[in-house]
Amino acid sequence: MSDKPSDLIQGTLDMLILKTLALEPMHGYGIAVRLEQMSKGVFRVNAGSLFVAFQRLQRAGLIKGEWKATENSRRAKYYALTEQGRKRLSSETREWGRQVAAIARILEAS
Amino acid sequence: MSLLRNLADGLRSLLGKERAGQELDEELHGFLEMAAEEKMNQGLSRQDALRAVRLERGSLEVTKEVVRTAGWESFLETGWRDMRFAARRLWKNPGFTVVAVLTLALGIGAHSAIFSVVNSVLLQPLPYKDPGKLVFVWSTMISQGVPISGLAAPDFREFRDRNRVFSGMAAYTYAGFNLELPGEEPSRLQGAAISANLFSVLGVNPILGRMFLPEEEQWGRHRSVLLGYAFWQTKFGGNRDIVGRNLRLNSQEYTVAGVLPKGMPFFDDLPRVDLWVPLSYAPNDEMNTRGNHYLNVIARLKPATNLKATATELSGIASQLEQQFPENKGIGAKVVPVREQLVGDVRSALLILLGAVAFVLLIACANIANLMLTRATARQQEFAVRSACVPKGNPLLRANITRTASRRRAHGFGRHSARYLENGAREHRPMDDCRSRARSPRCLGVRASDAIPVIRCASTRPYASRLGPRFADGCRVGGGLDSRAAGNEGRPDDCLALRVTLEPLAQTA
Repeated sequence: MSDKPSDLIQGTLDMLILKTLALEPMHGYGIAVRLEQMSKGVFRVNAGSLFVAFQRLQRAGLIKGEWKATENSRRAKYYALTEQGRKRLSSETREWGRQVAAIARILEAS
Repeated sequence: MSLLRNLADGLRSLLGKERAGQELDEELHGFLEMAAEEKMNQGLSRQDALRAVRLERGSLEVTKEVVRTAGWESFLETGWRDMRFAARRLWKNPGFTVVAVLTLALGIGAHSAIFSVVNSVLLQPLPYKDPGKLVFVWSTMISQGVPISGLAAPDFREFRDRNRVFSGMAAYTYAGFNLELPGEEPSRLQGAAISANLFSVLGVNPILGRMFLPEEEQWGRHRSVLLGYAFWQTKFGGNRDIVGRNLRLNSQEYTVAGVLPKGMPFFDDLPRVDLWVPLSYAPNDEMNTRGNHYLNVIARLKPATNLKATATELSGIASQLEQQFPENKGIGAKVVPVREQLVGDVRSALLILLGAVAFVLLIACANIANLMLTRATARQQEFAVRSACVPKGNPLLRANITRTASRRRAHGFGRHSARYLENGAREHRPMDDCRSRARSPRCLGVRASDAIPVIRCASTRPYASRLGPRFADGCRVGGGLDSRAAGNEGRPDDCLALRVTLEPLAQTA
């Protein structure tokens, strides 16, 4: 229960993807790697969940995809945040903060 | 907005299935390659790198399937596939199909026949305003052995004037008429004599002319007639000038006052009534005495009154009359709601019949269910295959509801499983987990990636006998299904590989 990658908390993957894309547009693998790096290896996302989430976010109009060449001159689909996605990210971040604070208060209560 | 986009996106991928599939393929392939490249930079061979990526991130095929089935449109697609499969299976089993269809047809047919009767008799509202407030009023002569009888004309007038529970009370009686039209043979008509307020009590308005006036109940002013819609149409061709014309009825001239609306059955409309005249009596008319009980009386309850209060009120008036008039000795009063009067005893009989056919339908369903169960047992092997190759969730359950097995998935079992074996998946699962998966009904939803632990279970003693041969057999079934696609890359071989792998496992156990 220590260094093994753990599963994401239900429903947080979308928010994390949005956060990753807030910096710059990125392709699927890049997003997976960045999620891992940013979580210092705690989260490992499998391709299935990741691509289903891309599809879902795209359909909700929160991200949009565009085929581009990578630095290794490979073709890849780059995802970018839409204006709507940016708004959703900030609202979800706020809500998340509120919930985490509340949970912490409960756990720390003696 | 996002709902629209979702819809549009789904439709696009449904219509451009090939393109969407290719795009996903390319994207996932790129993902795999990039991940492998990184592993290779760490010094792994290409093959090892690819394998490591598959282990870490899940297999490409499974991922593709997961993404493809995530959108709503996959539901349509598989639904359509399931329907086609169901139709094909039914077509191929004509015996079963005929039995099932006939059983259900009989059950449903009987049920809907009885229900349509119940609907028109019990459920459809009567064509009068607020029919729930309409009641019939009858006399009773229990001491003379007559439970129910019409009212005598003088009694009707007493009840009408004394009661405080009705907003209106009207009487009618059937009568025959001879109609003589110039240049035609006389014809016999069914008519009714009614008190002037009858139709206003019922809440029916004429479509032409007017209803009777109260003074038309007086003898001498009573030569007025109302026509029924059907009679007006057939005899007078719907001529709107009919109002005010004279008709010769029973050798007397009557003036047409109005025409009643279409679809207004006069109570049960048996007999069908063609025309109505005012109920009026000549002086010393024998029919207008306390001894002649023959009037049908209908009344409308005041909004605040109920049946019980009405019955009490009427009994009170009846006993007043008993004391007042010697002829009324032993005559009581009874009130019956209109629907109950018209439907009578049929109500309970109809409901019992409806219940009976409902059970017939239920039995028919149970029979079909049993039939399906028998057939399901025969298809166990097929289920075993498919439960192993369904990627996620309960498509198998859904598929069974529409009675389907998508052939593609059946191939898939061989393909996925063989790949796993080939890749030497090392993912370890605790035995208990595996056992419960293999046994529980949720096994129907078992994931392709779970096939490995299940197969590994098969190599351990207690489970091998259960799962080994079944899976091996299943593979044969899969292979059989596959025969038409034998030209496709690698599929039969996959199956063979799996069988080769599984059968020794089963034997050694």
